[in-house]
Amino acid sequence: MKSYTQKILTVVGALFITVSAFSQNITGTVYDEKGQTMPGVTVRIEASTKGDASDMDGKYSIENVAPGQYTLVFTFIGYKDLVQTVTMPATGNLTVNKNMEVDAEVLSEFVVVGYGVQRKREVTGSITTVKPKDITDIPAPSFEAALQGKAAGVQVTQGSGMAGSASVVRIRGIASISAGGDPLYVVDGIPITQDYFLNGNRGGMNTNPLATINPNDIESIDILKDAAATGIYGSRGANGVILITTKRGRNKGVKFDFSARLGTSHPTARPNMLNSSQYLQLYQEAWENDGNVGLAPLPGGVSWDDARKTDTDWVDETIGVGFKQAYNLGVSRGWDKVNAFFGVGYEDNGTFLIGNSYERTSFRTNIDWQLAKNLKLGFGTSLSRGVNNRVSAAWSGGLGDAMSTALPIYPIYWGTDKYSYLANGDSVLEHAATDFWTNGPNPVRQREGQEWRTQEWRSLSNVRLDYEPVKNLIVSGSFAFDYMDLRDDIYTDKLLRNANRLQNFSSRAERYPTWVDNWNTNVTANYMYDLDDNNSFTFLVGSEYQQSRNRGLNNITREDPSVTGPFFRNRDLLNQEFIPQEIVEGDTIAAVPGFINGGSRVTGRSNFISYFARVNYDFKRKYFAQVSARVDGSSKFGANNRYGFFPSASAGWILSDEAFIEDLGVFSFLKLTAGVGLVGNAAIPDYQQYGSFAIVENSYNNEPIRFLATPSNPDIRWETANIIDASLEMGFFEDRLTSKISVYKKNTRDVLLNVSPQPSTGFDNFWDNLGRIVNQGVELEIGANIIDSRDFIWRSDLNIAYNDNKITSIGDYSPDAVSGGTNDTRVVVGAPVGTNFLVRFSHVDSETGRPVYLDLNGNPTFTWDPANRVPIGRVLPKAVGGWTNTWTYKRWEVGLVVVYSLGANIYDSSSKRQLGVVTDWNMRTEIFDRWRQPGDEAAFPRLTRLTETHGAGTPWINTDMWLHQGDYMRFRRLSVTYNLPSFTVGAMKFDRASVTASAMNFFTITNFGGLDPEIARDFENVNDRNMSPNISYLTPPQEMSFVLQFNLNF
Amino acid sequence: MKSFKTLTILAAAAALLSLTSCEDLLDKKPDQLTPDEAITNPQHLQELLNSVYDIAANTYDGRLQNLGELLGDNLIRPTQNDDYAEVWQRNTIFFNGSVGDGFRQSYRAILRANSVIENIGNISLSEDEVLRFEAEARFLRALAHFDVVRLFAQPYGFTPSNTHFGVAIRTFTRPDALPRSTVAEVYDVVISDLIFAEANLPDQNDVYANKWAAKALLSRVYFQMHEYNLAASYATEVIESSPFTLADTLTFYTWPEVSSEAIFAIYSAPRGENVSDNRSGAFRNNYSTLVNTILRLQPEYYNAATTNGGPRATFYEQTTQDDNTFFETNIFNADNFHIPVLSITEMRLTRAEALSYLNLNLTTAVNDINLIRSRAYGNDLFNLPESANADQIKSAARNERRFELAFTGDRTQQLKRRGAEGEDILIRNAPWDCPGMALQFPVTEQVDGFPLNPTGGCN
Repeated sequence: MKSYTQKILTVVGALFITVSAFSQNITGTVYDEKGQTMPGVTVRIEASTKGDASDMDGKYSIENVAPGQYTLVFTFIGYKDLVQTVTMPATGNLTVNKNMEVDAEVLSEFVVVGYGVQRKREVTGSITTVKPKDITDIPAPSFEAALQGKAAGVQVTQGSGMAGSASVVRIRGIASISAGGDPLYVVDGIPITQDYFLNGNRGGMNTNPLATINPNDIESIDILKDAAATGIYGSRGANGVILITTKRGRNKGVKFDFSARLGTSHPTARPNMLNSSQYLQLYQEAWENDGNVGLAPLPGGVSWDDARKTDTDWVDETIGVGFKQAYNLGVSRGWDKVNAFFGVGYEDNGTFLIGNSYERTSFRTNIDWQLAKNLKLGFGTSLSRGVNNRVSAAWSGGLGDAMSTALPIYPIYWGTDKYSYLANGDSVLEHAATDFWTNGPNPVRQREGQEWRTQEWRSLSNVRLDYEPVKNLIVSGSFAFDYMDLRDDIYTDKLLRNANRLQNFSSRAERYPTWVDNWNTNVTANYMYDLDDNNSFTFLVGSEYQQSRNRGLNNITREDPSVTGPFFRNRDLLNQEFIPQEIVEGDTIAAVPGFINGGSRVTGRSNFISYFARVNYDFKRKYFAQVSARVDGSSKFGANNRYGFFPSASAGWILSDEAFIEDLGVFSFLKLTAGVGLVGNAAIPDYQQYGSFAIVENSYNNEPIRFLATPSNPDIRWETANIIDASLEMGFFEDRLTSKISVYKKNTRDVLLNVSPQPSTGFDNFWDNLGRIVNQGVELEIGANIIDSRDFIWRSDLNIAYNDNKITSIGDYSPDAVSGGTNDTRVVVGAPVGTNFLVRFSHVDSETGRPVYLDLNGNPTFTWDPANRVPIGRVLPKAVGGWTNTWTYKRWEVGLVVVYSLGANIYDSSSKRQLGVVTDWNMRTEIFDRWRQPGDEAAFPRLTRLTETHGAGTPWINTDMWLHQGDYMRFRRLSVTYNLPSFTVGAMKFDRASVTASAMNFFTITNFGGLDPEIARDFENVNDRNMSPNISYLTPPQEMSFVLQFNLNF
Repeated sequence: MKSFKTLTILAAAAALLSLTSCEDLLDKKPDQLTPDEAITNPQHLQELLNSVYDIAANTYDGRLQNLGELLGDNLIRPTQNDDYAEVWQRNTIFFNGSVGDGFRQSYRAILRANSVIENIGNISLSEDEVLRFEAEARFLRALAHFDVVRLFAQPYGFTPSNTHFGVAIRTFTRPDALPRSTVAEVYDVVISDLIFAEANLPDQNDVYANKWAAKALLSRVYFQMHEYNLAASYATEVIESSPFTLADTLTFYTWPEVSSEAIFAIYSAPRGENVSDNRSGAFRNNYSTLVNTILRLQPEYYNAATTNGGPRATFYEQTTQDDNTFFETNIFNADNFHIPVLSITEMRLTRAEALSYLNLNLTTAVNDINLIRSRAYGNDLFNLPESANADQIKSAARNERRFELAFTGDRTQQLKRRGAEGEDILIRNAPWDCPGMALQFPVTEQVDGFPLNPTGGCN
């Protein structure tokens, strides 16, 4: 099917060259529907070989035309064919200018579906297509961030403000708990490596495996949402599929597309932490409230004298203005039989976190070669390098420390020389005045003492052969390779390793390397068969083999005097022969000479063998039906469940072609589709069926050990989702107003849970298919050209998706049995995935200032007992959507993207320490509204250092006091573009140029009092990622950015 | 004809597609061992057994002892460790990470011990080896079950027949949910494991468990059960027949040599000069006076420990910050040290106290006390007279025991034992059997038939 599009392209791009004796010419200019000149339009004289294609200025010229009457045909894909009869006079030339008209039916175009393309009209599943302009309009390194608000039912929560951080993408709710809940990403037919936890959660951040894909190389993104669309992906289609198609060469000649972008990065909000005198006052108040006298002993062993002299604003020390730049060049080149696209890009995305940036250098080429009339070779490859210059955040330090344990009474430097006295009375310098202060968290010392770089090399390549042995039968073979080389290099300077000048630890270099190779090969046969004028069939059969291998070394570490920088700058250090001569006391000594941990090898391997078939039936171009089926076998599935079968069936009906609808005179287009199918989710870690024994080579008493780590489960298998979907597409006023309503219900069973059995089993977790989840919802899309005049156009698109999510079973386990890592959410039957399970806070007792909670029966109690937890609050929004506007006035264009999320709660998890029991955490200024004396009605309890005052033994008191409404409406992007007309500079002729100024995340409407209502925190594991979006824990705010962009086409 | 050609090509395409249908491709076994292939020779079994020691070493590196110690009256409330502060308040909730860790570590040891026992039959071994493997595994299983039931349940004697709730008894590796056994049932399993271990462990066994360790543990178990006769006789056997002798120097947290009196120790194997496979972190990191000290002493403890001076008093220091004075111990300041789990000191103090209960062989008891005292004070000034009566001996044994076995959690168990025996014991103003004196289980331990402990009640 794909080659069908390209055939049309080839025809369009074909050049007709003739030699003739006449010297009269037909010339002219072709314009598009907006009056812009239009390149690449084929103009030919019917029933002859004469013709031309319009150039970059829309001009064409057909030379040597004899006088007489001709029929000129103007064609361009997506536009209606124009036919005009002209007469060439006896002398002189003829000028024919034309305005092309968009063909709503054709331009609406081709949609990429699994293993092919379909005309949009014929599609019976739920698919949303996102165009390239929408993909590159956000200065985030990774394309998925730009999908936010642009497709109904696709919830995108942008990663935090950390450079390169990963967004959470959920299609039509969430139906997985322990297995990956992300959609399947397929780039040019390859299901790519998309593991967010290749590097775990190091430094308060998860690796984003999509960040090395340059959004500028993407031609389109098609989001498959229901079983009719994703059924062909079988055991991996349940959470939706995102198909990414990269740009290919088109048309003859050469075309350049250059863009440059410069911008700045700022936080959307700043933490409001106490300053030194405020902190001291409140800390002492807590001390005295607890019945103590005298001055409270301060954290970090700081004396009151020193504390009063110090006032460090750690937020200022960790947040600055980030600088962004990006340059991209795309070249499209066409020859007679070959079309090629080349893209190169460089970008450096600095963020507001001082020292943090993501740099990407990328190259892609896609080449199509028509080897013979019925044989075409396609080749594509990309190579990119992403370098993340990391800083610690959240729980790991940096801004996270500034929001918690880095107190304003802590100085950055010692300020005066500090001596310690030996037993014999001698004194030694312990800290010089200019040394970093080390008695507590010091984010500046942490940043200066550490160099941290995560580098990813990524290459996605594929070769594809399309062969048409007989008419309408296309046999295709594709072979693809996806390679990832991920290296986390951490260098910890001795300044950070030594707390004082008496310590003598060496600097430490660590490396965490991971390699993933992912092979995919498939063969398909596609046969189009027209039984008669009314009945057409398309048959697809295929098979696919995919193998993914993940290798890594754990933590190669060296710490000895020869370590002076990270491994990537001191490759010698990686040489095992290079053993230090001298070992400094305090260094941990290697078991393997030179290495503390020679890097225990971890390997994961999995594969899929699949067979699939699809039949599309078209009756009278009005009635469409599709059935598909896929059989997936995978090494991830247990021996008792090796193969899964995934069928789907769907139908579409173009009602607007029926007389009874036409007669209404209301609809310019009306289409009804419905589908049902079974799809799966196979995002389980490798080898879970086997159980495992671990080996440690050098352990207790310097002897090896081996032990049972996980029990086996030969029954483990995919999650199964049964999806029903129906949609109605409508067009009014010649499709100036369009709308689509979809409803769906998705029943997922055998939901994979990584359960915690009784700890006394000695096992931590194992995987089992236990749960059931229901998702159901409605999606609405409305698009309109509200104003559509020659000079002024206002295009507006609105979408909203409502999803209801409920867990209906988790087997015999309790809500706490599904380990959620650090999250504060639980799996509760009858509640949505990701339910806050909390003790209810009632009020502050006005007599005692103590917090009052509610027990299970709703009775007030001073005791905080987690046995009184109830499911309360949801982390998933009920509704998400976006509103996109474009106002075009002559050469000016203004764009506005607004996104919103309704009905979610945010659990501001760190505020229980910032606003709860007074500890060695700094507090936020909200705490001023605290109880101070009997009779006070205050938002926060009496200040205390004793957890008993809060009725608990711990300051980690989770209550719904920290649960907030998370509704927000965010002005995602406002842009102003000026399009220059074509112009010439010296010999260079520019077809188009534009300048765009834009502001991102510059305005947000929300009730949420914390930093930012849009939260994708750092996640410990897949459970966390599914269940805890909207749980904030010292999470950096989102980025606000201002960007100036230049585009040139020539 | 045309359709025939199409059919031919379709058939060829189908044949091509089926090329990939190789069933074997779906068998991707991990590089890591799977349980069915992990243990195939005696060396593997030895490595499996060593993994039990490994986990025990990561349990008795201080983390289990600290939990017991925090319940008692030796320490003040920690200000920097929230989990520990909760234990100290004797109000642990089922999310307490440090408590959960101690619990899990103990049961990991039990799982691995059971894994050893289940694998013994799968490989060919000499009869002696069969017995040794099983005896070592059962010794370690008994140690873990015993300490878990002491920390997570009310003590032996809390109910007349010890039918009160104990912990789960695990004797197989299957991850089945189990109900809560009674304390009596847990002690039965512990004793039967130790009797087997005592009979089948070797006399000497490098750094691993030997038969004296089993006997010493039996003495400790019987002491806890108020079976003073058995406690004294096992202690006597160890003192008199084993190769282990009371150390001359006071500290038995030695390195690189293991203290001469350590019957069974957690061993930090040397890995170079001043470097070891360090298995003492939870002591050092919490007590050391060289770092931010987390666990600090009650002033009453400090005064009692230092009032007579002598070598033992040098283990204690005091520091001030603004208006506040803190008391700390430097006993765990060293970078490396082994941790005796069972010692001759304990055996002598157990014997002395047991004999005082029995009112038998009091001269032996006095001698035990005086050996300890003269070592602690560096002189004989505080020795008991030869004529000391049973009450004096009992009181002296308990007093010395508090300091000699400080920070091991022993103090808490002695107070519980005495409370269960009928003494009127208050620990930091709360009865010895207030609910919070039993640590709370991790939340997922709770299933039908396994109720959690009641909480609080100690403040």
